[in-house]
Amino acid sequence: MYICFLIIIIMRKIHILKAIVDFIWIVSIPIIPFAMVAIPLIFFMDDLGDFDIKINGVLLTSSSILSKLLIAVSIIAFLLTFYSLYLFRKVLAYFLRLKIFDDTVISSFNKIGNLLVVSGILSLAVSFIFTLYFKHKITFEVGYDSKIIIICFGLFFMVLSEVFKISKGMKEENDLTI
Amino acid sequence: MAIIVNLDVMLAKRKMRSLELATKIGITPANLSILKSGKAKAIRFSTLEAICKELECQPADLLEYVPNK
Repeated sequence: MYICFLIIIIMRKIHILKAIVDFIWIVSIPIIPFAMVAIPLIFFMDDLGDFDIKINGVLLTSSSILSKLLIAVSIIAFLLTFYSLYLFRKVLAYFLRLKIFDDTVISSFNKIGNLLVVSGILSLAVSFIFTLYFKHKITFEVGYDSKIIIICFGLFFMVLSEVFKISKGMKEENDLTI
Repeated sequence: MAIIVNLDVMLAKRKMRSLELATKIGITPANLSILKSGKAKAIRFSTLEAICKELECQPADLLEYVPNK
């Protein structure tokens, strides 16, 4: 009885979370084809000044190979974050089907962790190089929208994957206790 | 696993079917099958007590230790 009540409460929270994640996913979908096309296109364009491209709030007017490279890496970092969002949606769908300790969930959490760490490191590198090269100063930003937070989230998901792996073993043991 | 469950031997000796034992001790036939096949990771004392009571035997008659080679 208590477990059923607990499942109902958890399910309600998962539904809210799934709705939010789905909304972000649907809103972001149209950007994906543009982002994928933009990566090779950037290198063939002579002047980036026609587009309002901003990194760290600074308008990019230079068309050097470094600035093109920074934009391409930023787009790749965005795509990696987007793929992790797709995996997270998949995990939530598994949770809704009550497949909580599934192998797919564990591997997805690990993948999400890896993707977020790589994405965070790439964004941090872009931010650092951009500030150093175009603004001629070194800054370190800590806050809720910081790249460090993304890396921390990535590491958290990796830890979560390990926790789920242990939990799966314990669940199996419990199920096989007669 | 080094622990062998001789439940099927005891059932044969007592001329009792798995389903009958499962019903008497209050566990599902599926769980009893897991126990018989040696897939179980652990057995509760309450379950062991119920099996011993129904089959009129000792825990040693049901469980046997065979070292792994």
